[in-house]
Amino acid sequence: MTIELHGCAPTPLAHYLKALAILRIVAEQADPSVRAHWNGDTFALTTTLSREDLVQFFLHDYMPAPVVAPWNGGSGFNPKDNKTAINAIRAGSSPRFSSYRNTIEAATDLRADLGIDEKVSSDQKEELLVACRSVLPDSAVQWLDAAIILTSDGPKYPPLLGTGGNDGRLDFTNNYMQRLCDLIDPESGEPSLVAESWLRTALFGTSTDGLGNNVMGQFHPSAARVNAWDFVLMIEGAIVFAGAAVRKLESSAPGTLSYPFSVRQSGIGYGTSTQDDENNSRAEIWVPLWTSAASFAELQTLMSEGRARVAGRPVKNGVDFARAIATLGIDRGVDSFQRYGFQVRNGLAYYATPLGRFEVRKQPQVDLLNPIDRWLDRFIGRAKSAQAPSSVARAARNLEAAILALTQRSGRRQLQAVLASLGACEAAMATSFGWTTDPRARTRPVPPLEPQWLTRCDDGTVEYRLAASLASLSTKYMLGGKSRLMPLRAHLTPIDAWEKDGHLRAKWVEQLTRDLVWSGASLQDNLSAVLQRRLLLATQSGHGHFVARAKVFASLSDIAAFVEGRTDDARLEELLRGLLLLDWPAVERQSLQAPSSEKLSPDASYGVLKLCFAGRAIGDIEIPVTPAIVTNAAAGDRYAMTLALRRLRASGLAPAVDALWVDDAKLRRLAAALLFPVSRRDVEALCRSVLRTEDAPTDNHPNEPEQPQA
Amino acid sequence: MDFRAFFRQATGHDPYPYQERLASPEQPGTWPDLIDIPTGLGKTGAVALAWLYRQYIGDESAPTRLIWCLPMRTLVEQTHDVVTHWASRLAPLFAAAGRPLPTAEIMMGGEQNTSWASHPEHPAVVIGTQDLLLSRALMRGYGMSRYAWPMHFAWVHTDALWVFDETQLMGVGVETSAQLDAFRQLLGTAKPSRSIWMSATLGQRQLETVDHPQPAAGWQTVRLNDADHALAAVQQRTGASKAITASPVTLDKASGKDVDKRGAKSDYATQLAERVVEQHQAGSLTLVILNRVSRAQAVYQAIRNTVPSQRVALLHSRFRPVDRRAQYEILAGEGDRIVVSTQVVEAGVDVSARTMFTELAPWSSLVQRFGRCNRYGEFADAKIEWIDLAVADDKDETRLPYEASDLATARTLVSQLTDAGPAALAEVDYTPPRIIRPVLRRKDLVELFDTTADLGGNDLDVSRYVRDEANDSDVSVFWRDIEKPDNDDTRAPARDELCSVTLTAFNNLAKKKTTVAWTFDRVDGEWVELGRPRPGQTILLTAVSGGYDAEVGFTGEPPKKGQKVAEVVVPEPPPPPDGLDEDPDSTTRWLSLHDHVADVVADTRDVASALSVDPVWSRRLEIAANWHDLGKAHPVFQEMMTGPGEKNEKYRPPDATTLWAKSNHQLGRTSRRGFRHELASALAFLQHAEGDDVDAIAYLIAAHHGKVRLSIRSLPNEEDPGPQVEGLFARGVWHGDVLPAVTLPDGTQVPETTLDLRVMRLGRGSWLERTLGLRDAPDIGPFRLAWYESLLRVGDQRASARERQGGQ
Repeated sequence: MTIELHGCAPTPLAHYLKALAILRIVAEQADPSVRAHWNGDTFALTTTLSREDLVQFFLHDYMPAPVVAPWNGGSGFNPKDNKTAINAIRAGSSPRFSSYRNTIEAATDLRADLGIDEKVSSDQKEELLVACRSVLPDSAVQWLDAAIILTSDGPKYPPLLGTGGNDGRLDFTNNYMQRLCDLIDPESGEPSLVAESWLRTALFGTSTDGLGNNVMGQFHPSAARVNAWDFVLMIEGAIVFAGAAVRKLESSAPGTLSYPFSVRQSGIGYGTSTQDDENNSRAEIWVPLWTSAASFAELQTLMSEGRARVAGRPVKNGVDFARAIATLGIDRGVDSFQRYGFQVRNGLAYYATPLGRFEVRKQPQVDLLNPIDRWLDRFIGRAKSAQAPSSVARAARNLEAAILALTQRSGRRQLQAVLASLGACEAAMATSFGWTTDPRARTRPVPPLEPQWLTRCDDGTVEYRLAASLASLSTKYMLGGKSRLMPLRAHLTPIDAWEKDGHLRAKWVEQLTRDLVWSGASLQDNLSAVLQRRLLLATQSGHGHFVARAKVFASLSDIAAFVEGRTDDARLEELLRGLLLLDWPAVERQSLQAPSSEKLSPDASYGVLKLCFAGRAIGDIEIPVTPAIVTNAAAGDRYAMTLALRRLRASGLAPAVDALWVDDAKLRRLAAALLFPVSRRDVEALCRSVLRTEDAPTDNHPNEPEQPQA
Repeated sequence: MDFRAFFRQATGHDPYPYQERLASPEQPGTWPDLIDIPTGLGKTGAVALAWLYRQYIGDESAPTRLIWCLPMRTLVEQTHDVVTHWASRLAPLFAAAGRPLPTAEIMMGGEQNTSWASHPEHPAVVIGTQDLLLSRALMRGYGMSRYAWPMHFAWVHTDALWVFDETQLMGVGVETSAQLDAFRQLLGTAKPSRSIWMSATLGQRQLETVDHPQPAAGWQTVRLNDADHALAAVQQRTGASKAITASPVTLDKASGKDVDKRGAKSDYATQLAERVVEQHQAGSLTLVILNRVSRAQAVYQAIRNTVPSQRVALLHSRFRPVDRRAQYEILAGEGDRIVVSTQVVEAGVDVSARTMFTELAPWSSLVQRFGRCNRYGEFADAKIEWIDLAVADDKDETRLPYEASDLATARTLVSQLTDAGPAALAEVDYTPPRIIRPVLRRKDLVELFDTTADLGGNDLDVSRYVRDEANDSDVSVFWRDIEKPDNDDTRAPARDELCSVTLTAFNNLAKKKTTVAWTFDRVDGEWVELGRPRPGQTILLTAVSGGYDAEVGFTGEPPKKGQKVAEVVVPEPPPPPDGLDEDPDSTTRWLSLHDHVADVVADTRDVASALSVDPVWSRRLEIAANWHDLGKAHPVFQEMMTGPGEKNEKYRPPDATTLWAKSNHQLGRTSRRGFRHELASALAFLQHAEGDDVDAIAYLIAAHHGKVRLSIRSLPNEEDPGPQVEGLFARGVWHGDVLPAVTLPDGTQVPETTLDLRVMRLGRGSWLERTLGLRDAPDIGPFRLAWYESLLRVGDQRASARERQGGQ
C-alpha cells in the first residue's frame, strides 16, 4: 500500500532527511521491496507494511544506526563529556542496540589501542579517523562516510554533518544517543511513554504536545522545541548522503567538494543574498525530489551520481549546479531540486536555509556557456578571491546571478542579461588591468562567443540592433607595414585581436596603446572618439577613403532614432559591450529585422555627413578621409556642415542643398551616429535624398550579397 | 609420478621436506594461509611446483590460475624466469600425461592480448606487481582498457590461487588482499579461490583485518620442522653468520659538514670511501647503504675518485628510469663491485653482499638491509659495519628521513649484536609500531563493481588500497633539448624521461639563473612558464638548465659551461586507447548477423562447458548469446556497415537485404555519436522476455562489451534528439527507435521492436533496480556476476577472432 507521510517535506532540511531515513531504514530492516517518491510536497511510501505496521516497526523493532564520533569533543568518549546516553547504551542489553554497542566498544578499544585517553589532539585525529573507518563494523561505515572524507590531503568534512558530526559546539552523535534514549529503553528495547505520539507526529504530521526542548542544529533552524524522532531520523537520513564513499577518493580538482549534491555556495539567486554570505557560508546542497516510486538502492546510486558536472568538469558552486541538473534530472526522472545553503548566521551555529526550488528543465540556451566554461570557471574563481578588486567581484556576481536566472528561464532577455554581464566583466577586467594581467595568475579576455548568441539574444529593440551593428565593425589597417585587425572591441578594452581559421582570437595587449579611446564619457562622445581614432588609422594606413567593414548594418530608421535621442543609450552601451565579445569573423553577414512600421529616416544633415564617411565607395567615387568634419561636428561646430558640403562637391557629388542649419547638440549626436555602418542600399538611399538626382550614382553591383534575407 | 620425481624433473634436485608437505597435504585440496620459511629455501618452488603438480595429476580442486603477486617489478621478472624454466622442463611430462601445460605470463600494462585472459579455462601462472594485480582485483585495472576491467576482475577472483610474496614490502596491499579474500568468502564466487601469504618476516597483524579475523585455530602455516632443520642446506641458510661491528666512521655535525653540498670536500664522504675501499674483498660485492641521496652521491663520487677503475654503481630514487637501469645492471651482475645505495635496495633485490656498510636506520629497515648480506650463507667471512649517526632530536636534520626516536631504538638493538644472521635476529625482542592504513571495506568493493565513469570520464581512484601512499611532495622533472616548448610539437614526457625530485631540491635548482622551467597548463591547453611549483606537478626543464647527470642522477647543480642534460630517446607513443564508440571487433569480412550470432552461441557454449558452468547459468548464457547482437539490426548500425559501399563498390555488401554484423571495412562511422548496439539488444530483450531470468540475461547482453553495465546514462557529448523523445536517449539509442523483426539462431522470432528507454529513470523495473538487484543478490553478487558476464565476452571474442581468420 502507499502511505503518505505528511511529516516529511522538502523543507526544512530535517524533514527531507527524515524522509530519506524512513526509506533507508524500512528497506534495510522491514521491507526490502519498499519504494518511495515525492508527490508534490508529500513523501509517499509504497510498502507491504500498513500505516500501523510502520508505527509498530519503529516503536518495537527499528535498530538505530551506530552513530559515533570518538574523535569529537563532547562525543561521550572523553572523560569530561556528558556520558549519560552512551553509558546507558553500552550497559543496555536490548538486541535493538547490539550493533550500536559493538560499535561503541570497538571505538573505545581503538582509542585505547592508539593511546588516546583525553580529548583527541589534532595530531591524533587523522590517524583515529582512518582507524575508525578501517575497523568499525560495516553498519558504522556508512555513517563515517557521511561525516568524513579521507583524502590524501587529510580529512575533509562534508557540510551536511558539520565538522565530522559536530555543528559548532553541538555534537550530533551524543545528541542522537540522548534522543534515542528518550525514545527507546536501551535495556529493555521498549519504547518510552512519549515515543508513540511523537512518532505519529514525526511520520504523519499530526500535532502533539510535550515535545522535548532540544536543539536541532543546522537542519531546522526555526524549531526550538524538537521532536526526538525528528532529530534521530534527521541523522539517519544524513547517512544516505554517504552513497558515494569510493568516489570521494577520486583526486578532486581544487575548489570542488566531492560529496553528493554538495557545492560551494554562490551567494546569489535568493532574496537576501549579500557578498558577506558567500565569504562566511560554507556550502550548499541540492536535494533531489523524484516523482516515480524508487527503491532505496536506486536512490543510493542517484546519490553517487550526484557529483554533478558541467561542461566536463565537476561543479563548484550553485550556479554550476543549476547548469548541470538538467542532464542528471532528465536522465533519472528527477523533476526538481530543493536548494539549501549552510550559512553562518548565529555565531557558532550553522543553519540550513532553503534557497528555493529548482525545476529540472532542458534549457538549451544554457549550453551556449559550455564553450567558454573553462574561462568562466577560472574567472569566477579568481574574481571571488580576496585579492580581487571589488569592481571585478561585483561584475562576477552579477554574471553568476544572470546565469542562475537563465537556468530557470531561458528567454532572450535572460540570455541578453548574461551577455551584458559578460561585457561588464570584460570592462571590469580592463579597468583593473594590473590585477588582470598579474603574471602569477593571468585572467584572459572573455573568449569569443558563438555566433548563435547574436540571434538568440535579439529582442527586436532598436538598441539591440544598433549595438549589434557597432559591435560587428571590424576593419584591417596597415600599420607599421603590418596588417592589423581592428575590431571595435579594441577601443573599449586593451586587446590585441587577430583572425585564425575564420575565428577571432584575442589577448590582452602587452602595452597600452592610443587605440583605447573609450572613457567614462557619454556613449555619444565615446562613439565620436572611436570614429576619430579610426579615421586617423585609416589615414595612417593610406586608405583613399573611409572603409568600414561590418557584419550587421544599422538601418536608417534605427539611426534616426539614435540621432533624435529616442534610444536608451545606457542600455545600448551595455549591449554593445556584450555583443563585442562575439566571434565576429564567424558570424554570417546579416541584417536584424526591424518592425516594418518604423521607416523614418534621419534628416538631410545626417545624409550629407554620412556620405563623407559612407564606409565604402559611392558608385566608383572614393571620398577622401576628412577628419576635420568629425572633429568639428563632435565639438558642436557648424563648420562641420560646411566642410562636408564642400567635400561632397569636391568629389563630384552635388548636394541638393547649399547650406544646412543644425544645432550644436544635434551635431554632436550626428558625429556619433556616423560610426553606425550602413548598407550599400542605404548609402544609395542617402544619395537619392541629399544629392541632386542626376548625381546620384546607379547601382553598379546588383549581385553583391550584402543584405541576405535573415 | 610422485611429487619428488616431479620436483626433480623441474629443478634438478630433491624437494625439502616442507615442500613435499605442501604439495601433498594431509587433507587433499587444501592450501595453507601462510608460508613462514626463511629466504633462500625455495618458497617459490614450494608453491609453484605444488600447484603445477596438481595440474599435472588433474586435481579438480586446484584453482586454474596461480596468481603471483609481488611488490616490485624486478621480483616479477625473477619469478617469471624461474617458473618458465620449470615449466619448460616439465613440458614432456604434461604432454605424456595429456594435460595442458600451464602458461607462465607476466602481467603487463598495455593493451596486448594475453592468453591467460582470453583462455580462462587454461591453467596459467600470472605473475605481476601488486599495482597491476590488486588494481584489477579492485575493478580498476591499471594500464588497460577500462572496458576489460570486468573480465580481469572475474579471472583474478574466480578459480584463482593468489600468492602474496615478499609481503613485508607490500604495505597496504596486505590489508587489501586479506579483505578481498574475506569478501570472496562473504559474497561468494562461482569457483573457489584461495590466498597464500609468504614472507619470512610477516607482520601477521596486517592480515587480521575487520572482515578477515584469525581463525580460532590460528592461520594454517607452513614452517620448517625437524626434518627440514636436519638438512645441511637448511642449516647453511638459517645459520648464515654476518659479523656486525660499529664502523670507525661516524656521521656527526663535524664529519658531515658540507656532505650535502655537491662538489665540496666532506670528511664523512672521504673517510667512508677510504674505509669501504679498504674493507672491500676483491672479486665480491660490497654494498654501502646510506639514508640520503646526497650522501650516497658524495660517497659514490669519493669512491670513484679513489678507485676510478672499479666497477662502482650508485642507486637511488632520483634517477630517470633509463639511467637507473644501467646502474641496476652493475648491481645484478657478478664479480668485483662496490654499490652505493640509498634504502631503495632494501626492497626486493636478490643480491648477496660479502661486505656491507649501513648507516643507522629504523630497526625494520636494518633487518631488510642485513638480509642483503650473505643471503645464502655462502660466505664464511661476511661482515657488516653499521655507521652511527649522531642525532640529538628531531630538530637535527641528520636524522632525515627517519624519526630520531626510531633511530635511538635501533641503535640500542644493533649495539648489542655481534652477529646479524637470521638466528641472531630472531632473538631480538622488537615489536613494530602499529601502522594505521586505510582498509578496503565491503561497501567500497560493492561500489567499485560499477565501472560507469562519471560524466567527466573520471574513474574512482583505488591507489590508497593498492600501495602505501608515495611521497607526494615530489615533482616529476624531464629535460628536453629545446629553447622553449611548442604547443603543437612538444609531446608529453614518456615514463623513461621522468625523474622524481623533492620539491625542496627542485626549488633550489629553480632559483638558479640558468634554469628555464615550463609546465603544461591543462586548462588552457598550452605550455606556460613555471610559476611556483606544486607537489605532483610535471615540469619540463630545458637541457641547458642542468641539474642532472646520467651517472649520479639529480644533482640540482647548474651545468658546467657548454654542457647540457642528455635527452632520453623514447619510442613512438602508443596509439590512443579504445574510445567509447569504437568497436574494434566489427571489422573482418562480410558476415551476416545471423551467422555471427550462431558462432558466438557455439563458442559461448564451449567456454561454459569447459568451465562446467551450472545448468541455470549455462541456459542464461545461451539465451544471452542468441540476443546479444540484436541491436546491430538497428538502422544506425546497418548504415555504418553499408554506407561506405554507396561510394565505393569495394565496400558494397554481398546483398542488400541481409542484416550484417561485420563488414569488410572500418570506414563506417555511426551517425549517432557513441551508439551502442548492445544497449539496443538488451532493451529489446527486456521488452520481449518474461520470467525470473530476465534481469540476469538482459545484463549479460548489455555488458558484452563492458561499456553498458550497471547504469544507463546519456553522455555529455551526445546529440540531443529533441523534445519528441522526452529526454530519453542514451549511448546513441533513442526512445522510440525501431528494430526490424529478426529471427535468432535458436529459432526465436523477434517481431519489430519499438525501444522503450523509460527504464533509464528511477522507479519500478528500472535498469538500475534490475542490475543492483543482481549485484546484491546473495546467490549472485559481484564476483559471480562479473564471471558470467565475462564468459559471454570470451565467447564473443573467440568467435570474432575465428571469423577474422576466416574460420567458421
